[in-house]
Amino acid sequence: MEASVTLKKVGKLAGDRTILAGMSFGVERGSLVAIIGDNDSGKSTLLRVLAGFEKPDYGNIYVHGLDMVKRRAETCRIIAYVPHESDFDPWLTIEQNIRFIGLLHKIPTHKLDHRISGYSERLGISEFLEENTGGMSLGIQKRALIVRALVQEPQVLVIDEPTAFMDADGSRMVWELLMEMHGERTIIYASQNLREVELANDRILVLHHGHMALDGTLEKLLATTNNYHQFHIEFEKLNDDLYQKLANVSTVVNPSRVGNTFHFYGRSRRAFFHVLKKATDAVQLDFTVDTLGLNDLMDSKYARKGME
Amino acid sequence: MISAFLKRRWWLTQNRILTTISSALIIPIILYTTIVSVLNNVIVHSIDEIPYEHWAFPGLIMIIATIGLFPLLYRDFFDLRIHRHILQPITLAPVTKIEIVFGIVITAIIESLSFVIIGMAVLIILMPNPLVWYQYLIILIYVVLYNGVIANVFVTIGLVTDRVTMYMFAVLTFLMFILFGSGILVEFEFYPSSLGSIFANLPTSVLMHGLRSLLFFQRIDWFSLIYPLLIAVAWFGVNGLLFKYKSKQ
Repeated sequence: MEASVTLKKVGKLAGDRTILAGMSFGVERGSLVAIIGDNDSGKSTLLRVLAGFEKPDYGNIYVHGLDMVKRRAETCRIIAYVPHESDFDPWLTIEQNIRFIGLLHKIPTHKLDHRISGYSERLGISEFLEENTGGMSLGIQKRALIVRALVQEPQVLVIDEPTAFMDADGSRMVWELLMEMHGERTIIYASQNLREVELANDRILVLHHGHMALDGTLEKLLATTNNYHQFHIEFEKLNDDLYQKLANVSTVVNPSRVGNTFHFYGRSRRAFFHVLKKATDAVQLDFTVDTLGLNDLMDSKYARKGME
Repeated sequence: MISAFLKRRWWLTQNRILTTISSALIIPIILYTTIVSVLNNVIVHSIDEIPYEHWAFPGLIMIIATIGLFPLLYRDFFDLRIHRHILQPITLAPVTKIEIVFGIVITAIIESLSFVIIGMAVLIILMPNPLVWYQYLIILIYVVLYNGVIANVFVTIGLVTDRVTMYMFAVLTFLMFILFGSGILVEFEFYPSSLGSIFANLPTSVLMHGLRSLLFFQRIDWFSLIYPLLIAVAWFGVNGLLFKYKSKQ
């Protein structure tokens, strides 16, 4: 597979603080890459650097083999960027905002008309095209930002939180469209919605303090959790003594409680039976056993240790 | 490229056409009643024996041009840049930063020219008509040059300041300087000679002097056209680089 975007030791600083630390990776053409990480881990900065919004302080970025700094005009035609929040001009209508950027990209009027109406219809915003953005719902504006990027017919689409502020319908429409493009265009996106990421990815990059902590497929990432399971046992009454007794079981990892429900992780299902054995006197109402997902990977203490 | 910026300017003007027209009608009336009608009683004639009202007419037009231009550039290069990051998607288009600055400024000058034409019409009604028709066209040509210089100052201030208070302070200081340091309302002969000779060499002062020479003495001063033009062109380049630096690209 050919490389779509390649980063070579790309770094970004803010004063003395390192936002991105010598990042190197390549993205294959037509792939769908998700970037996840804590708040302030550098996701948005990475996207901004990838999209050409900000120049890296060191290192190089190549888009379809072209140096992003030296061949900026050409790479601007290849990449389109969807920011997290609206950057529309509030005195222009949605359509005027989109059309203006299309004209700057020298897209012929008939093509622009066709693309604006086509993508707006797909994302359910046709009826809002003639409205000014002031006071418009953020979800609609976000869909319009995606339309603005798509009218450029970019080969690489960089999206910061694809479904931020959107209702269920909006999210579905956006993902249906993006999944149709999957394979033809490279899509790189950052998201805090980990369920969304689990469903839509060829590869996941996990950022941690400006470093690439993990990089791989969902299966590969979850393998780093060492087959841990997550358990929930709901008791009729979970008092402090019982909680302490259960938390001290040697196979219980990272215990916590919410009301009368005891949560813990364990490397195997045996941990569950160890806990049950200690709680024979207590009345148990319900239990669940889950294999770990991305949310646990990002949230649990032991997985974080693995990253660090 | 410029057609995209022209369309944008047209859409923006359309969306606030009533405010623009009413301001263009009211501002000349305010300027005439608060400045010219008062100073007319103090100065009466220029050094060259031209009635003050006639002498001040081109200056009033330049003030109207400045007022017409200021909000457009404040909005694009300061307000929307700082508060809504609206310039950012424009910077991702395959155009250079100088082209972006040029596109925004030229279309703002065109809009301010329409503002000036309305203002000029109002002033012609208010004041004794001092000029013949082609002289009004000459004024419009000089307005374009004058705005070319002034616009670059507004762009520079808009790009180098990141706080509203600093921006307003810088702009107000500059406007005061332009008003009294460019021979717009008062001749340099009224100033101390050392100060007057410094002010007289500013591009806007040279331009005003050249315009009045042409209007009242039919003398063409090519330097008064070329000097501000060269300053404006060079400043466009500087602002392009400044914009590139500020956008961190």
